Amino acid sequence: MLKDQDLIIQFQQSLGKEFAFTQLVKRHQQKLFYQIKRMVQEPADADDIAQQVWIKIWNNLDGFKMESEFSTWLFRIAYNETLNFLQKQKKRTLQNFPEAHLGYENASSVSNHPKSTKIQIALERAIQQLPEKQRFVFMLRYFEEMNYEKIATITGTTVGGAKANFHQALKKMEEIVKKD
Amino acid sequence: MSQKTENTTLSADKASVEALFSTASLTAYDVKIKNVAPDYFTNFEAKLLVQIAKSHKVKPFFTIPKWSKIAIAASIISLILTGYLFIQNSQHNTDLANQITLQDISTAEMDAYLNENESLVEIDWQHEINKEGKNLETLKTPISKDSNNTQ
Repeated sequence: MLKDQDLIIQFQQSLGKEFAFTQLVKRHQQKLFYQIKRMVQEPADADDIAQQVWIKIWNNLDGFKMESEFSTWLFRIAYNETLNFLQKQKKRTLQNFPEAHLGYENASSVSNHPKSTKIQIALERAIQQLPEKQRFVFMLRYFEEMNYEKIATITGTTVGGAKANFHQALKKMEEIVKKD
Repeated sequence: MSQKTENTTLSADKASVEALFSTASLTAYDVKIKNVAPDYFTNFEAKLLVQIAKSHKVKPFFTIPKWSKIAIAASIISLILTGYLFIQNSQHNTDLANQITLQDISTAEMDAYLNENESLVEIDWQHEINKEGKNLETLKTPISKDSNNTQ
């Protein structure tokens, strides 16, 4: 099985561009899609963003210098695209529903549900209320088990910054859960 | 950071999260996220290639490099400028000619011109007279009443 670097070289030398690209997609699409979906929730939105990310990859892969791993670069683009999407969505929501800035109110009251569901609802609510960057870092660390060096490169911060983001996310989630 | 240290740190981070929310709820959350149609990823590749083909810009058959465009533009501007200056210059000369009046030409200049041209005019007259075969003297003979007399 060809490594990412070999597939990229194949792409850059135009020796079966489509084949090389498709192989990269097959290898990385699931992790990428899940990470985006954890951020945006809606499958259709996640699908759109994922497509945008891969189109950017296709358009810029010729200039990729392999200074970092391909997956790092891929997630970096996904990070930017996802945050752009969420920013636009927030603006649209505030324009249509000015009271939306008051917080996440969609879930039903936690107290009426069984314990397991309570925790589930609390978890979803806590995740949704995290600032986007902290949410992205939290997801990458917990669900993708990614190291802080890689997270730092993806989010454009330092290792210390990435660690701080994760622990701030955890602290915030704790506060949200205690409120409920 | 060594892999061992990293693994320890990762375990510690995950444990912190699981202390807040149960492992089961976190797992259930991720299962929900990963719940997609069975053929979603297979179809995604095909759909993606179609999108790439659509979004990929079509290059024109003939492209002019940037510097060539600048050179062509400069040439056209030069041509227009040269033409404009030429026309302006011609108009200026015409205007100049129109501005010269007889009063501006000195007597000596006029005499010189007339003398030169007069001699040219004289030669022309003599030539015409010789051509017709008429003598100036014959023109002095009075004309008879009977002008139809051919003898």
